[in-house]
Amino acid sequence: MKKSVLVSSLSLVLATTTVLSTAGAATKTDTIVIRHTQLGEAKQQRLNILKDVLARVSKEVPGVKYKLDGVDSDVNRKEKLRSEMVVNKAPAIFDLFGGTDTQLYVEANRLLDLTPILKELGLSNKFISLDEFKVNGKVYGLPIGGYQEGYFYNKDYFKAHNLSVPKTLSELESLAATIKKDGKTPFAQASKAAWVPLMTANTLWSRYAGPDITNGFTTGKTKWNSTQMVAAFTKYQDWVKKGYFKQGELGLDYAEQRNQLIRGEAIMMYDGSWASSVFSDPKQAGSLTNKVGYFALPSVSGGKGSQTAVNGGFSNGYGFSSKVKNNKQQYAFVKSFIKNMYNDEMQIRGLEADGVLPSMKVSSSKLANAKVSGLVKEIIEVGNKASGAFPAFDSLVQPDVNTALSEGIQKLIAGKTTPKAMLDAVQKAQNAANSNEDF
Amino acid sequence: MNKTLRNPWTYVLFLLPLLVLYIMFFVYPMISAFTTGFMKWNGLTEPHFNGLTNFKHAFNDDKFWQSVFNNGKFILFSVFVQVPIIIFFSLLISNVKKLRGLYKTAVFVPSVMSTAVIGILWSFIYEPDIGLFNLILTRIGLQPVMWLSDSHWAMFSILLTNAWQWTGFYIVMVLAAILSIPREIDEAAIVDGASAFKRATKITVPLIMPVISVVIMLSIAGAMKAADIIIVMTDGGPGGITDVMATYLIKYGITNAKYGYGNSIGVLIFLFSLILTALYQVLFARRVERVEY
Repeated sequence: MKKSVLVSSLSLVLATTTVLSTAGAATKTDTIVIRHTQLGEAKQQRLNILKDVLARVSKEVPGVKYKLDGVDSDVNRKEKLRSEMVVNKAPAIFDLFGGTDTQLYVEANRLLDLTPILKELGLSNKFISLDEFKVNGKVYGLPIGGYQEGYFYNKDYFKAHNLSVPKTLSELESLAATIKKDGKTPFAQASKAAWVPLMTANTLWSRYAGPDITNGFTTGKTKWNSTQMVAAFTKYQDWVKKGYFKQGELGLDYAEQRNQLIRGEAIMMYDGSWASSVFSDPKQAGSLTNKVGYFALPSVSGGKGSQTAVNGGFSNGYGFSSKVKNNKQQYAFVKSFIKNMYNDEMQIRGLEADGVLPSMKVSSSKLANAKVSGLVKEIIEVGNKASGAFPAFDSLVQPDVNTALSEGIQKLIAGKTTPKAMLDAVQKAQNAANSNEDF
Repeated sequence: MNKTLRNPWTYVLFLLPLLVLYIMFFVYPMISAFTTGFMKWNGLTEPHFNGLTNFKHAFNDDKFWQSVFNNGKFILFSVFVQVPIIIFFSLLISNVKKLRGLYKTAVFVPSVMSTAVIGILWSFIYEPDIGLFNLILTRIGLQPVMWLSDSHWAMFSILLTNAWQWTGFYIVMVLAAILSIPREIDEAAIVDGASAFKRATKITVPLIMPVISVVIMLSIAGAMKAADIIIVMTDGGPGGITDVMATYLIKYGITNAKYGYGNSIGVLIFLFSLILTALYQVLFARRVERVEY
């Protein structure tokens, strides 16, 4: 074969493949990654909702394929997403917490400004509160639902032992003493992850020191080691010393606290409203199905501020990568995702199937007709009776302070520190974080 | 062909892929860690040079020293508890005539299992109420132990699990060394009337010292990079009591969004490992004679 023939045929092959690959690229389908935290049996319903939403989105935006990426909530929030944000490789759609997390990512321009999309879809005024996802008046995340924290309790046990829902903290304590005397654990708890015991502590300190105290820590207006805060943590330690929690609970995973209640080993459990769906599912709750009640942490005599405010808010939802803006198809996908995920139908479905409180202003008639369990009705009733809500501390304080507090509460439960020493250490971390220390 | 092999650039070309990978995954991250270790950087916004502040903070932080101390516990447990057990079991298995393969496989299996699986498996064993250990303790009339939540026991529980995972791997290494010793040496000792204990301590162990030295070195390296087993079993808790340097790095570097500080801890882990390795080489490894039979 002549050299010139060989060269020209090879050139032809090269040119053809180049043209073909370019043509392929033009019709290439994008793959979008959706990071969710709906893992395990307890979150199956929520995952089903997500899948149904994505099926609708796929029909509306056919050129984009999607891939689900499920990660444990705590791991995603504290490690995986944070590392991805550093290298600017976050998925297009991801589970996001409001407050300090959102602020941090907005500062680095990693989050998509959703304000124009909300305006375009007519959703700007449809949410109950977007405060935790707002930075400088712009919206960077959308809460999937609301939450509220309180005590879940074994109704049958209460009835059998002639116990009633406590109205004051001293009534709660005498209830706990009675249960303990009966050989049961008063409060189910599993504190391997520190945020679990900190749920109780957060509301307890808000009763003693006022629901607004946490807002002042970052500005220096209020102090962690103030007298009321020490009183709240002293009460907490008192419960530990009296054996109101299971021995060895510091080594147990979060899911184990529900099991303590379900097994009948413990009678009350402080948890978020997201846990409610477990108690209407016979597969998970067994004989305790639909036999669980709910009440708020009762008032503290001499406590500061509102004594009926609940720990609740709209802090968890979806955020979107700022990179999406540069890709028309992905941007269309995100828009369609918001449209299909955030509407009355999905909000009611979340409430009915999973007990997730709506984060949107759903019409009252639809809400009244929603088929919800008795437990969810009780949760909504507690929320309606509350004077207001305060967000969880971890959406208000810096990560360093959260770490110091997390270590502190575990040491307190282990009997390795005193409330005052623990809170002094947290205040030290708070001072360092507020002063924007140089490391 | 010969002409090609005589050209030094050929060898450079052969080495190139490996060199590229080495630079990408070792040299570049190391340089990057060293430079950002001297910066205040949250990983998201612009970093700025802060001199030795990160290192000063680490040296003044009790929690950092607690984690260094825990790495020390890992090393001491490996060298003074795990290695003697490895030698003991290797000697036992080497003297077994039947089913030696089965024993070798049985002890080796844990080392091929994922650390996450092992961590969860042992968490069941340590469970306060229905865990195997507490069931045994209560059966014999003793008080149950809160293995993973009691600050006195949590670290020990992790060390035990870690030892269980890796002992088999090292046993197979030591066993191979024992079995490579010519039988004549042992037979001569038997003819001279040496007891089994004497043969083990005076002949076998001295002859396999180079391998034991490698086992110790690998144990030290493993102890310095321990993290996964702790994350799965206690996540550094309760109250940071089981944190080692690597988990301290994750907690205070990544979780707290202080990547500059996290990198400075990475540099310190590197330096500590370097010092330990050098010390071990100078004080022990070089004195081990290479035995030729």
